[in-house]
Amino acid sequence: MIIEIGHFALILGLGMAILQMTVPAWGAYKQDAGLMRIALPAAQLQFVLLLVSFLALTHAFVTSDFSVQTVWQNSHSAKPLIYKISGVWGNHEGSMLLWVLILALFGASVAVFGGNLPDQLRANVLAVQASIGVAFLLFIIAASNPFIRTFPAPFDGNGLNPILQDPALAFHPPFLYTGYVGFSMAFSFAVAALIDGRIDAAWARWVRPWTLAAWMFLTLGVAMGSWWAYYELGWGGWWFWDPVENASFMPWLAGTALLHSALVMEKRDALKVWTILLAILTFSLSLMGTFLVRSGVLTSVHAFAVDPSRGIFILVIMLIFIGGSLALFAWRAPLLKKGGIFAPISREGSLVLNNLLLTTACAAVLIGTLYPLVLESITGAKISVGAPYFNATFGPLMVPLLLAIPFGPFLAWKRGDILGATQRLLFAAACALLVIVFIFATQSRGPWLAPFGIGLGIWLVFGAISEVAFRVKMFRAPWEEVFRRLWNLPRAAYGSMFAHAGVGVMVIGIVATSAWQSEKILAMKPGQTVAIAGYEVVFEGVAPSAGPNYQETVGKFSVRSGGVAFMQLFPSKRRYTVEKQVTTEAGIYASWAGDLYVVLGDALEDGAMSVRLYFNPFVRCIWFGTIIMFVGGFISLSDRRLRVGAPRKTKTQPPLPAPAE
Amino acid sequence: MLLWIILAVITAASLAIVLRPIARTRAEDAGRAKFDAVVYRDQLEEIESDLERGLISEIDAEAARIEISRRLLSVNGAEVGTETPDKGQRKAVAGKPQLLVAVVCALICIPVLSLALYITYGSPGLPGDPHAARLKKAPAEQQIAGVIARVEHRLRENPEDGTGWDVIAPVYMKFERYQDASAAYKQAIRLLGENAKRLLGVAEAEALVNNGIINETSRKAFEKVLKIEPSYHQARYWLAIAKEQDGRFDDAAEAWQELLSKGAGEASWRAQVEYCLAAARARLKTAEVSNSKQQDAACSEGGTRPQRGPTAEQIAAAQKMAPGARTAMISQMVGRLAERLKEDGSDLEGWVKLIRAYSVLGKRDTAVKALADAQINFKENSDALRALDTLKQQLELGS
Amino acid sequence: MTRKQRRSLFIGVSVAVLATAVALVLVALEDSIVFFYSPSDVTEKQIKPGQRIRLGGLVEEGSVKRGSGTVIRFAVTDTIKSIEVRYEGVLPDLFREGQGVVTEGKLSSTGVFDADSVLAKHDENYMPPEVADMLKKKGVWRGADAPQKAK
Repeated sequence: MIIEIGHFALILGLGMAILQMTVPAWGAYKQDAGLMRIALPAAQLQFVLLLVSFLALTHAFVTSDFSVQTVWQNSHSAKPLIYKISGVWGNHEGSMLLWVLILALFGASVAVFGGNLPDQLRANVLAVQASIGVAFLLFIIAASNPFIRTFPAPFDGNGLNPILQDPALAFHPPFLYTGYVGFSMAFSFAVAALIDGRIDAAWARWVRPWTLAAWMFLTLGVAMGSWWAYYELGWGGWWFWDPVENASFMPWLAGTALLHSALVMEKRDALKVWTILLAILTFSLSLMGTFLVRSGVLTSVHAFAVDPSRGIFILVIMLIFIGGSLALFAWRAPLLKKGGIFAPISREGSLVLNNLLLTTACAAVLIGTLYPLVLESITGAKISVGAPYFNATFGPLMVPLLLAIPFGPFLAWKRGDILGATQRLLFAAACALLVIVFIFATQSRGPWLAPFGIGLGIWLVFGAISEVAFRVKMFRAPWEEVFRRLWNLPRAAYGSMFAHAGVGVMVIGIVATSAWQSEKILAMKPGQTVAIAGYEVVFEGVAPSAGPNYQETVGKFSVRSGGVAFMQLFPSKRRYTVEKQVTTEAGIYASWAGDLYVVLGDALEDGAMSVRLYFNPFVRCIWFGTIIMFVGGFISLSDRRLRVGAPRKTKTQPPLPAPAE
Repeated sequence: MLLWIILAVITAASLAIVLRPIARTRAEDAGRAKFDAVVYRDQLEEIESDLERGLISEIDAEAARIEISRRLLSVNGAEVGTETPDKGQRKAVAGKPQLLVAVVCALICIPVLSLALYITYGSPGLPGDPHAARLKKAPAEQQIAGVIARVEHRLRENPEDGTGWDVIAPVYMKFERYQDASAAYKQAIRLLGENAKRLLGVAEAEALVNNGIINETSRKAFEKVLKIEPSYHQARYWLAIAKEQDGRFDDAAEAWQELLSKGAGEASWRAQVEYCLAAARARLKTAEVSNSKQQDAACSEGGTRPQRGPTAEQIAAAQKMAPGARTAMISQMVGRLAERLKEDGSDLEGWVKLIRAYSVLGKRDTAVKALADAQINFKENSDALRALDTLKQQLELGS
Repeated sequence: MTRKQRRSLFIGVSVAVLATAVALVLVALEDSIVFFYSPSDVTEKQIKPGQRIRLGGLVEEGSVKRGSGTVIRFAVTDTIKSIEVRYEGVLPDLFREGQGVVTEGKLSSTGVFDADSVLAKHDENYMPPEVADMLKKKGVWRGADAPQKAK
């Protein structure tokens, strides 16, 4: 019965969404506060109903109720509890339900926290938000209903794709979806502003923190996906420029641009039209990401539970929303009031450059991702656009952006002083240079560009720290004053410092791993030793073992350094009994200097095993960098203060601390 | 019934909650510009507090103040221009019929729509059926798959139970879950030690996983089995197949012969082995004459079968079967072919295949009879008769 | 700087960035896209040795040969033509005879395809879309078009 209540709650949720889509919009048009107010309980109720529905489905998964088709197809009684729960969104139907649940959550938060929004804006925002919900709820109920039952119930389920039975991947979709769907807020606000033909002062004040929250989750979601691919696929790589990866990366790039342009809008009332467009584009890319992942139109290593026929449905939804909002933009944007002006060399100017480079890079990724689809539909030729394309286009566009990042926070609003900023960054530049020289002196291997890449990372980290150091008058004022300033510094300043330094740490990881990875593939017999990156790895043999729902062959390797064994690694091949599928579990010894990564291959004829070993220097920095970025976002988000940018009056003034952020 | 009551209550409660703001007396409609003004005033306050904390200089603060005040002024101007006090009142009056329409729509449309959708997609009659509850039912009620599941369940909880693995392994074999069978036998060996039966199990299961192809490891395993327990003819059988797969048809034939002489008592085996022996011999013979690919079935999957015989899937299935079952399957297929030809005798190829099959199965008399039938069927077709004659000589069916 | 100058500076910078990006994209698309071919295509279109391509098809039954080392040889077939592939490394978990596979690499002068990556999919019943399309085109598709999970 719980299942049926859940099913009905889902349908009633659609009813609420329809009500929320129509009545408040009509009320906003008629200027009727009563009608507009209906949006508030409707949004909250929609969330509650969808939550009931989601919990009912979760209950069915946890109790292994195989009378529910989705549960039967994607779960098994022998699965560990955590994967029974993650199985809820490990399949098409359940993941779409999670998608709308998060959408409704964002809608409900506007209803709850939106007291400081003008009624009309709030009503329109909620109506737009609900229209997305209606489209997806219709899709779920009609074409991918998770509550379809079978009778009689099969005895046991088909199991979850074993490659998804992994802790990182269990929580990857919720984070990713929160990110994707979080951008729907910016979208709804943008469309509401276009419908109204005006942008309220509260607009950016709302959009920026919500975009920031979405961005944080997306950052972590993408990083988790990459981390999972790194240790679960057993290929030693962490990013493959795979269409599904790109699908999550493009909204991230656009979202990062949106975050910065919303900053300009909030503080300086400028770049309004651009921000609105960017909000629409970001969410459009999120929709496209959902479509690409769900439809399987592109060959991907991450494609699960794809179903092309249902992909068409999402394609239609996507085209309606993207086309509709862009048409609305073309029609209404000229009505919007233009914002403030600023000099090219200024904080705004640097953020415009940021936006320009990020969106261009995003476009390059988009072209690379969609080009095979387009070419195939025109000429029928099948091609793949691989990493070389992305490295050749995305890389060169990122370099100027990364070089410019540390300058941004040093420039004043409206009119900046590039010379002053350069002076203050001399320390960071010196550090970077020192590191470059050091690497050239010590490292003979690898491409000649690599030391510069590391230098770039160092430049970013120290550039970010320099900014805070400058603002608190580090080394220039007495300690008490420095501490007082450190204490008083707005949290947003720390936020941007962490976020930018996180980018630097990530760059270091990416460059080091790409340039200095060592790889060895060989056939190893028990007792054999292989040397890699200063370690000696001894293959001790293989033994069978069993887990809760799999049998495995575990290889035992001891790692020695300087003749002393200090670590054992157990890479394995798992065979999941129910799903009849094999997965590779890498054995990883992780340290700050790098990861030793061992993968077990096939058994060879003479008792040897084929073994693949990697040493990935500083690879942890990649994910550690994203965590720092996440933390930065969180600190900035916790800063509840208002934000206003104070323009500097003239250029000739003595250098002064940058305005509050 | 209870379900319907709950659903009705949920619907009613939802509608009540949603429509409540309408019933309530309306809050006054604050002018839109006022919200903007609030933001700008907050920003002004913010500048003051920043100034106090020494985060911005007096000069910066002044510049910011001027800018925000400018915005504030423009907002206030707009407010005076657009928002007149009596407009709000007019809206209140105009709102009434619209509210009514909305209420009626919500009250009727939402329940009707929800009900319609639910009846289309829902299954109100089906109770929940969690797995745990079903496991508690008596074993007799369960299907065999359920029994396996229970043993598997127990083994998951206690993977060190060697006897359990030993029991389930042959069951896996029976259900053609060879990979699982192999794993289970390996577990049993790990926990209970090696014996001929388990070793044979592993080797057989692995050979079957490889679609009947016997690799070096399996071959060694079979040899080991025979060393421990020479009476295990299955191992001999597989080794013979291995030889055949290596193309050593003479060795294979020898091995079959040996198997026939040693395991003569086991009638169920006999026919199968004889079939294999005949096939190996035939191949041996024809390999010398012509391209072996054109030849009739050998025991393992190496050769291509004639057209319209058993499909590749059937052959593969036969390959995976236990020898006894396999013979049964083959004779069944032959029976079907004979049945078909009795109804429609115009299929020359079918006849050829049938006669060959009888011949290799050792049923010479039946083969002769089938040949005669075929000759009657094709008495007007000289080409066919010639072909049948050739076959007759080939298979030495002449009297 | 007047407003007009400022505007033209912004436009100038934007155009410069976009032009660079377009140039990069065009050059990269020229150089780094990889075409997908079936074994018959390779013969028909006379793909030159050394050109980087993706070769897809089914792993021919009985063709997989492993030496004692890590070099693996197998044949990729579209049931009409087949091409021998040489690959050094660890094969994906779902690599199996008779299953669809996509390999990337270069044709050597001896006609053997030197693959540096082999892709097989996570899902056991999954057929890479390129391979499925190709087999359908050649009229040798056997699989069901049904969704991947058993019903």
